[in-house]
Amino acid sequence: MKNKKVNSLILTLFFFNVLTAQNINIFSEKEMKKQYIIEQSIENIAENNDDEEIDFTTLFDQLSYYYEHPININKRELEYDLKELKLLNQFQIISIINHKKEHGDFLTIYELQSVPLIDANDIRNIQPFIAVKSNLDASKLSFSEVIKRGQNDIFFRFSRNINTTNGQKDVNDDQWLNSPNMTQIGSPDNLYLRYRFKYQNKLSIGVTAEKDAGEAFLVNKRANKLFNYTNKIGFDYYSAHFHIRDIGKIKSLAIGDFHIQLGQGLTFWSGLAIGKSADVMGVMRNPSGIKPYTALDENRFMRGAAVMFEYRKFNFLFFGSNKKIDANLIEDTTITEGNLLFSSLQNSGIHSTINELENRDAVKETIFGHETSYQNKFLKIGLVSTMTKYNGEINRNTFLYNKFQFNNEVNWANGLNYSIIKRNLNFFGESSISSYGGIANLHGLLASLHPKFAISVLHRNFNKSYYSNYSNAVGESSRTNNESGLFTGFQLKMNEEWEISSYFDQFKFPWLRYQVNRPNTKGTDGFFQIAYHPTKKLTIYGRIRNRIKPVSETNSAVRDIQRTINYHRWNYRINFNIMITESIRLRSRVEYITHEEQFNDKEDGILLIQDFMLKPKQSKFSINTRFAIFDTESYNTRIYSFENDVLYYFRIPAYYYQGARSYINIKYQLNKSIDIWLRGSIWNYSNREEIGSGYNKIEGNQKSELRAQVRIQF
Amino acid sequence: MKYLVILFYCFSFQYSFTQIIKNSGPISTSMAGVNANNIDPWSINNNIGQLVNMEHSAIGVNVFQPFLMTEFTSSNLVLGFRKSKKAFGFNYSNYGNEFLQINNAGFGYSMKLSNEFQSGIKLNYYHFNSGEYYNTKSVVTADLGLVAKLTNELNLGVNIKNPTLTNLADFENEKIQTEMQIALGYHISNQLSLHTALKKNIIYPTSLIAAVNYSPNDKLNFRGGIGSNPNKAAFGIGVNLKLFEINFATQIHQILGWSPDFSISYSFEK
Repeated sequence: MKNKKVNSLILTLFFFNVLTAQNINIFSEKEMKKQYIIEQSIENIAENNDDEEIDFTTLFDQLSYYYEHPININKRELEYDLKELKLLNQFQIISIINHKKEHGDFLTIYELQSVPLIDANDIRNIQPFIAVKSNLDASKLSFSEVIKRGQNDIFFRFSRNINTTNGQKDVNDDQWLNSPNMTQIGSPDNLYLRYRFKYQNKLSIGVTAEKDAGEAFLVNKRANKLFNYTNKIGFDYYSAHFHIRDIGKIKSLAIGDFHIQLGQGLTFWSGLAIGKSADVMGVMRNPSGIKPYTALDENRFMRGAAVMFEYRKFNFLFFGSNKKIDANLIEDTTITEGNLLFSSLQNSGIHSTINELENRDAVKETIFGHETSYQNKFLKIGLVSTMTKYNGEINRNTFLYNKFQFNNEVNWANGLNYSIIKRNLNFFGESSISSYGGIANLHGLLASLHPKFAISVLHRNFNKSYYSNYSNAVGESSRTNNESGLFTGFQLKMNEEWEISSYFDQFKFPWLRYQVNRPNTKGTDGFFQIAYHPTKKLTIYGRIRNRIKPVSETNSAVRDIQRTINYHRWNYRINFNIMITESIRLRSRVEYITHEEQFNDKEDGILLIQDFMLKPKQSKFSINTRFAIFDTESYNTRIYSFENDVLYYFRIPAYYYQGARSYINIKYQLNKSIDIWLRGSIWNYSNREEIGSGYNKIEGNQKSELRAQVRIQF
Repeated sequence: MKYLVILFYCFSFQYSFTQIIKNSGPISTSMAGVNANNIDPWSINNNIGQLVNMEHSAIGVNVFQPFLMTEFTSSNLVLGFRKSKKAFGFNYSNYGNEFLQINNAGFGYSMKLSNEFQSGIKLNYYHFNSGEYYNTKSVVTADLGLVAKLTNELNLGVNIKNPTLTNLADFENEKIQTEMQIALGYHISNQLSLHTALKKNIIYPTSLIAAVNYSPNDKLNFRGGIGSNPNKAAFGIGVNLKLFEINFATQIHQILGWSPDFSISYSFEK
């Protein structure tokens, strides 16, 4: 009954929205462009990671910030912000800076057209995130300036699944004792609280707290009694940071939680990064160095302090982190052997059952590192050294694919990274060596051969025994080891209307991998996209992606040894982004996927999406809705699609099986300081009797979620 | 004959039962089912967003006989009343035989939000009478329609039927079918337009359809189309006689044969 109500609510609100649209006439294409850029980047990451629960906040927090606080391209120190924006390549950034030096401040955004290497499409891409103002940079970071211009944000977010999951069902004591991992100790509410003070990109102070669905906010007396385990009161996860930039010789200082992102991500890069995507020039990383941490990944970040000094053309970055992380403990090892042994590190951040709580903060991780770098107009070179120590020993399972994986307490990773820009060529790369001799190399080239044509080439070779727990380089697999490959891509801007981007990545895995029981396997990833922008109101793109990857045969019950086969997956997509009027925007998409494994039947799937977005400037409401219909044969043919959500919330769900999906987001600006978001969404399956598994399992064919968020700005 | 009809029902479920009994008008029939971009009084059934794009208010009736079987004949009355940037529509259709009768009455509202965008909503009332199984059953569903003019030549039409996945019965999760069509129309000239559509019924395979509409002069229209799932070909002819318009069309199913559709409509002004 509840689901029917949600359905009706969504439908009613959708048409309330449509019916009021005729009174509204002013809207900008900013929101359209922002979403287009995010979806272009984000969907490929989701496809490569096969994880719907990845929190993309780290990646797009900054983009959303620039959307709300556009970069003044007349500011003195523009390079940092343009790099952080990640929408222009290095050549274009240098070109803008040089143009400003030669011709003075920009008078309008359209003056960017006179900048070499910047065309109308580039301007359209960055327009939502930049502004032209007279230079307002403060000469020095003064307390009064910070107080005057700084901005406080408080966010409170509440989410809840309406359907009862297995983990939330009432069970008696015996049932709970027999299956401690099937019952959650807390309510299904997901709570999020965040405070942040920010002054441009100079100063950021923030506190974040979160309770995931199923985690306890108060002491669960029953669980305490049954399992003799006392959970702590309050949010399950807290994070705080203080980050300041450009105070004298100190270029950057962070205390609390932060990210360290160095070189090309081979030696050390905490947090997510964009790898292979439609932006083929994005394979070169622009490292941020020290970055404040504001996301919700409860394990993969730094907690401690980091500082970067500047001395002439040298930068010296030091950081230290000490925090507890989740791990799968090997039972009783501390009692019987005196050593703490764990089989793997956990990244889910969910602590809703007794077993999950036992693995919470199980291991202490200590990290020290530094980078010394030199930078001039043409060259940046950095020397990185890091040490990671656990207060226990990783003792992975004895499967053969783990033979070369890190199994110890201490790991060193040292690397050398560089970026050389000469005219229209940008060479970049990183070499790294870890404990026990594991070596990894990554070297590439971006070449802007013509203002309309650019290529990217990247070769990597990650030794099978190379290990750095905080490594995140461009590659096929999420781990930067046991892989070699060559990525080649190009971008062709034929004219103002047509744009082609394409890449072909061929890779090899020298050793066995999880679910690949054979050494020396190989695969390819090919991508082709053609985009058509006949007017500034319409963007149509079509894309084809083909992946061939090795996998062990699944239906090999009659054989003792699983054969390794290749699966072939094709994705075909056509997408229309249409700005109807200043207030109304539509998006239509059709995506078709096929998945074929040797000795198995070919599977396929299809997804049709219709989005409707209304953002009137003169109204306090803005609304966006979706209806989608999907039909895929299995999880193998799942299709990822970006969904609009409340501000600073980024998830990419996978559409699979057969059914319909709809959601509605409503934003209401109560006054100048307070914004409210409401979101209702529903999955409706036509060929499922139950959804999900384990404690997330729902009996029935519908799954609904409500989310509300309030932001107070002052 | 009784057993033949029952057998046919069983067989026809494999080929989208709801598509067989659907009565979307002869223009849609002649274009193998591309209809989210068609502008005629049958837009009330095909894409309510298009109703406001009719030049004049009009009324029409049609008779559709799937596979030349009398037992499956359905008739349909449609009315589109346009006033400036708004339009109202009404339809009544009847389908049935001694085993199953379906009556559908619908009311829709369509509006022109701008020259480039029209949308609409329609509410359907279905009354089923299938004595042995359901006795009688009534349900209300909604349809949504959107139309966007992408460029001077290119149009996009989207039609969503029953987005709330309303149930016919909780038993076996029987639903009024949910269906979505995304159609593109490319108008090469005033005489010639090409159309393509993807149609996805929630439980049946996706249909890909292509169609052409050719008007050599003001009096005549020739249309044709092909589609997949089920494989079919279609053609039709339309004749404009001042205030009246007569259309004849047929679809040809690979296995089940011909399905003729005939209509006459009257425009309240010219």
